Amino acid sequence: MAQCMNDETVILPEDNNINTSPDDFNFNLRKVSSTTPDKIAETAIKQVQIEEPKLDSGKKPAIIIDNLSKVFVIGKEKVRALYNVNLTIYEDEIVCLLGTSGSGKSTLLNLMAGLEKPTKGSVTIFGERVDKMSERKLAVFRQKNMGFVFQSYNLLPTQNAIDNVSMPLAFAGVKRKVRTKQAKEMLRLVGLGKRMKHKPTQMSGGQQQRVGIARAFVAKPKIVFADEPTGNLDTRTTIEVMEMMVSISRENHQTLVIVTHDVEIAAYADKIYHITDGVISAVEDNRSKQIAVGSTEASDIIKAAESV
Amino acid sequence: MRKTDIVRFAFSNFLRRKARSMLTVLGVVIGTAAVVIMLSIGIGMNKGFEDQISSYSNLKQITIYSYGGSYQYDEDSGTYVYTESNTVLDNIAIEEISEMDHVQVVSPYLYYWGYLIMDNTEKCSSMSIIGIDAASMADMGYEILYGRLLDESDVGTTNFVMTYAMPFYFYTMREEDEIWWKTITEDDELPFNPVGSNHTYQFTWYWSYGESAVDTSKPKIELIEANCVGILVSDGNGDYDSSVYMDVGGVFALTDEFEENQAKYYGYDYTPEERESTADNRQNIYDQVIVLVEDSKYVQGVEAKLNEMGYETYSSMEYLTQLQDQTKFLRAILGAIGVVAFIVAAISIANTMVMSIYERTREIGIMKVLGCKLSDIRGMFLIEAGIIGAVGGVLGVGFSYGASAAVNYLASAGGMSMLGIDASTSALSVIPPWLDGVAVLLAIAVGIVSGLYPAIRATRLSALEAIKNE
Repeated sequence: MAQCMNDETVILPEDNNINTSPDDFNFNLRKVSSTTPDKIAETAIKQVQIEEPKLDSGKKPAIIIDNLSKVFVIGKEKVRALYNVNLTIYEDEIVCLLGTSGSGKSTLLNLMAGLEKPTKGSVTIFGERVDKMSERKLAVFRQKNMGFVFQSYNLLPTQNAIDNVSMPLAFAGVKRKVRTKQAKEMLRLVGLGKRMKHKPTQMSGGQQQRVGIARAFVAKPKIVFADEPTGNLDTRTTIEVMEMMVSISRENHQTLVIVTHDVEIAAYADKIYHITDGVISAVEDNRSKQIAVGSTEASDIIKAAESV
Repeated sequence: MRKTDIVRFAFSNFLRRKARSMLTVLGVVIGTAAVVIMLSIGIGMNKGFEDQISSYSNLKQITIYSYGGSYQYDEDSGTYVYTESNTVLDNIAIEEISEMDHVQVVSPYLYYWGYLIMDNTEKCSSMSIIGIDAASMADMGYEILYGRLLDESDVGTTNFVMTYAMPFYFYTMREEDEIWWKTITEDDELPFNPVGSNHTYQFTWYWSYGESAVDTSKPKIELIEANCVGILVSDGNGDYDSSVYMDVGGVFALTDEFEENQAKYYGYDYTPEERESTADNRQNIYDQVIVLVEDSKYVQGVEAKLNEMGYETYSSMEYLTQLQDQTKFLRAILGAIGVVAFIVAAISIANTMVMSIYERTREIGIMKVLGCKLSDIRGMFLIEAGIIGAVGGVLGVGFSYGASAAVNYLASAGGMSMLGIDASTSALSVIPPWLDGVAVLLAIAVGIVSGLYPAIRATRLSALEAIKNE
């Protein structure tokens, strides 16, 4: 039951095998940082308390999650998806929630976005309690502060790229002329300048996801949530899409929260939260070994993937 | 979200599933058309009665009869008590009635009889001499063919206007047979123009003047000269009315002279009739009083007031209302058939919208996640349902016009008649302009109401369920 942590690390599973429960949380850990000498406290059974790496000096918190739990009731059974999760995501950060399917990472994202209500605990974004907001208030809050990128793109099939991208602006009440102009700019930025009038069915997965990214960023939200954004894409496109998201959010000083099971994607993040069976099993400061946009590392990954 | 964008979204959704939208619209078209056609037949029926009655009478007219009094049951004494009703028709009454609201014209009306001799040789076998207020003749709605109507200048004179049928009744005394009855058809041409200085007219009271030898031992039968100033237009196919219209003053002068001459001829005493009616001593002077109100819609109100005042009245409008009341039930059934069709249309709209929500679950979820307000989502669905209603309503009204024309054509070609209304002269189905607007608004309202449940359902969809990865 004890957490296998030494006094100066946050942990990252050595391989992708993080499909383990905290009970046998004893696989090899790779030392990733020597600058975080914080203690690890075990407070209760199945509750993992991890001190976050201090990589946020001077930055304001964007998302504060406090003691968050979520229990789903399926039939007569209660399934615990999240258990006493605490974390703080700061402005301008690129954060990755890394975990296997069923680990609770998507639930965590849904709770952050207000798509689900927590069983216990709170989600505070820019000082406002998202978990307490009414649907009406949430809609406006999302318009102003949140962008979304989905695994299955979730574009409206009947609308062309421009209309899909300009949709969040339409919901916010931006005039058609203005929002079309902004949507076009955004589409040019993601390299779809020549496919603006195409409908989703006329585009490849990568192109569709780029439309999705354009849509998420077009309203310049302070936070963009990406739920397995590359889950349906090949490695080359994955890298393209990741670099695009990272570079746009860096440029605009936006917070990017990526949910994934893919370690290669996690490598783009500043901070990686490992989620296992509903708890944060580790937090990792990834800045030192982060893949930079356009770096050779990325092309190596592509080469490696394509040579297989 | 801007209103225009909500409408734009609703429109694009409406156009997206063309086949299904059109089928739903078709339901509304049929519903609207059913209501409009059913109502139009009811309206046509009323219009038919109205046409029929107004073809021979003026719907704005109330006739007051002179009527002595009536026995009424008295609850206190338990017996029938004779009450003198306020039915004295004199100038005081006319004054009183003309001051009532919505009353336009009040004219005395009296009948007399006589014979008319033209150019000393032609005679009209019999006619009515109708006394009216000469100054009000134009206001009473008479229409002139040649010459002029009576006016203020004719007050107190024997100047007269004859009906269109009158010239057909003249025959040459002692040579031709008397014409007792003549029904004028469309092909009959007026035998002569009676107006102008080339004809002279004389009234007589004696029925066989000119035909049989007048007893020369008796006093001379007087002929009273008079001027014909006009002839009225025909009151239609089947006109037979031989009458002349004269100012009441002229009629009184004529009758006084006739009666004096008559008394002399037959040798009895003659006392001239008193026609003084004062506030202290009122006398009945006129046979009837004609009241014309500003519009037929005021007839019933004015008539009720007159009845309250004790006058015995008759109006075509009252008769028309009775006729229309009798068909109320029939019209209600027709309307109910239309309403059933409309309800079916409403259900079909609701069904379409619910189906489209199932289809668009994911889309609605995406919209919610991207920050679309619930009220906007609801608005989109309501407007889409409203569009279905509006398009269906407009097409339905258009279709009704076609169907209405077809019904009227078939009914008139087939020589149908309904409840005494001849389809060849009155349309069976009449769509008044207000019905167009009402039908379209109703269709839109039905659309929106049927869209209400689906729209609320759409807003209740869980965004998360909707966007879950497959």
